[in-house]
Amino acid sequence: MSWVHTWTGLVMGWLLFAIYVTGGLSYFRNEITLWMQPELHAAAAGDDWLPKALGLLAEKGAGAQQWTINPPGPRSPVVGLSYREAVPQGGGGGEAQEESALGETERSRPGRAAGERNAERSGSGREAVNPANGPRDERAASPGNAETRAGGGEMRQGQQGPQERNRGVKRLTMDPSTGSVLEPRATAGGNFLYRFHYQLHGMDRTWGQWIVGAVTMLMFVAIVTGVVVHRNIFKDFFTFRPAKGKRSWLDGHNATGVLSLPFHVVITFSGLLLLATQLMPWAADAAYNGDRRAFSQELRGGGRDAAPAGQAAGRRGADAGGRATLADLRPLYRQALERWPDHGVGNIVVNNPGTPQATVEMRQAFGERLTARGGGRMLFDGATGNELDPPAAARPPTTTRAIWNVFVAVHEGRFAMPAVRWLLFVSGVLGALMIASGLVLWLASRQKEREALGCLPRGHRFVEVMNVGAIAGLMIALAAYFWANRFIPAAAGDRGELEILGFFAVWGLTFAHAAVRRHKRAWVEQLAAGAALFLLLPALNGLTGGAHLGRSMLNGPWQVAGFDLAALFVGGALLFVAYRVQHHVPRPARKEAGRPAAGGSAGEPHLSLEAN
Amino acid sequence: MNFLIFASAFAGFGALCLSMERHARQVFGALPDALHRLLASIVGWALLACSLAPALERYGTSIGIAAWLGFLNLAAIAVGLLLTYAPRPIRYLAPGVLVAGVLSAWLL
Repeated sequence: MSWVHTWTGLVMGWLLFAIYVTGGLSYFRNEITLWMQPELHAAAAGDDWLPKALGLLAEKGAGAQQWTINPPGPRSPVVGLSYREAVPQGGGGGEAQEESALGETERSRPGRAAGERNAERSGSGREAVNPANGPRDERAASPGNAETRAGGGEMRQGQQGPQERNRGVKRLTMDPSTGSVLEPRATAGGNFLYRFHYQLHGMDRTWGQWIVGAVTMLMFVAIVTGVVVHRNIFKDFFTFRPAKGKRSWLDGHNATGVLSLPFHVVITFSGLLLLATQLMPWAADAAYNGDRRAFSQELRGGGRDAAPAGQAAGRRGADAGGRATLADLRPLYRQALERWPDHGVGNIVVNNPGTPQATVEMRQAFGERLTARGGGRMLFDGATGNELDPPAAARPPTTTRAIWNVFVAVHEGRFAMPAVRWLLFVSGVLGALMIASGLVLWLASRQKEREALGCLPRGHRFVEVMNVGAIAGLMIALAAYFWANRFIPAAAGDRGELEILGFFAVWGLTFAHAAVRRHKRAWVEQLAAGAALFLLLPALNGLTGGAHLGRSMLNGPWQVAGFDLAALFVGGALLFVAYRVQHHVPRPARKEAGRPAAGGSAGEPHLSLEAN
Repeated sequence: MNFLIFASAFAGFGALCLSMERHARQVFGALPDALHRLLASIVGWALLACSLAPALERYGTSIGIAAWLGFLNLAAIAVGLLLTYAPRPIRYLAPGVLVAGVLSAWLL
């Protein structure tokens, strides 16, 4: 059992560390994208954004079938606007309406399906709630990837292809205080990190998902065997003995593993579940005769019967003529906020604006339960502002679907208010520390073997290089990604791709560096480099057009302040670890002393000091 | 409310570690008698169970459980780190934080 744990851990650890880190950061991908679009940082809160937004929509989207407004909220300081132009296409309109009714969950969900290639290429690729999406034209439909779309990537979230949903949709970003349209730079943003964590990059998406799926499966094996191998799980629950070499690494590995064991189990299992349609499509294919679209629709509880309000409203207005002014939406918005004090309003949808048949729908930002997707909604008459009967609720989820929803929602943190989101993130950091300490432990526990041999076996050297590059190198690459965001000119074409290129180029170099330097030197240098890059990020942000810390901490956007503070914290932690490694002196007579970082250190694991 | 969840979980883990020989020695310098350790373990488990209540109250059943696990995680780390680097203050910190948590939930 121990053997299985050791070797599965070693084989998948390097990649899994990257998956855990990028996956953990995905909990904040909207905030990361916001940081990477400094053009949006100047947006200030304003009281009258709602009339301004409606004015802007009336100007740009006159004659549109539907307007959607994403209010500024805890995850975004700006107002997102989109309008759907009438599509004179058989069935198109109806479908659009239906989608809009379902759209809520999709919009308000932080995690989204694999974006299609177009989106990836254009950089930011995420829609809706994402504060950061600038004006974006309707995406060109590329029939070429229709098939992949129907495959696991999309299906795993149970969605239709975004292109279809977004047919005829135009997006704007508005400053809530001035009401002016903002034009943020294109960026790969947090979405790159998010996509990387389940489908990697630079290869066919299917391959990426298979690799991540295999690694996740091994992770599951490692968790189960780890629990079995760890005999004193309760006795050693709180135990951490620093500066005792291998003992400390083992303690650190155990503590980070056991303390957040529920998180690891759930996240691994739900990760597998999310990839299941890709890895094992046969059951669904058999039941749905290969129609993955139908399967995914049923999975998300969609289907035509579950698309109540928007559709009905749409129909109602479809053949309506006449003009009418919209009621003042501010009291309605306040009413919705009173109804959902904790969650707030995720978006406001106006159907058939400008007509007497206009309806206004307020949709709750986060679901209250994990078992059902999406939250509450309120429907108003657009002309009078009276509340209408709430849209018929979608079918209550079946047990199967409820279970699926729970796992998916926990994995994606879709329900999460900021506090819970941070808890999930901390659990993710602990997971990353567990993996990193496990990797270092592999070397630490073979120290005697090396001493007996008197030389460094080639395999051990390989593990050393991989450890440095995969752990410290990833930190440098992440920092480099953020630096690249500010150094690539805002107007450059394909900015997103260039940022990603920067990430991988730097990450590759860290492996090369680790290969040519002695082990301890490599750790110290890379940790110090990563620390410097992270510590300077807030300054870089202030100097290249973003809201500097002094401003963002005083009057927002606090998402940016949070990013900068987190960067300082990670940088500080890296510096601390680098310092400890640098000054580490192996104990001569006894086993060498490794030094686990203080458990709280965020970005980085303890450092391996032994060899060389 | 968040703080109350954390506080009772923290106090619960604090009491639990006092019920364990090695850690009780770390905190008090001497081994408390078996009865006290039994008491500590009962109080500890009870507090951990109690911390679920405010989580459910605050977040509803399904999210509450997820949030609760997250807070347990955080509290256990805090206790673990204290045991490693500053074990002795735990005897004051655990009840102190609990009182602060109850007060803050009550007053705010």
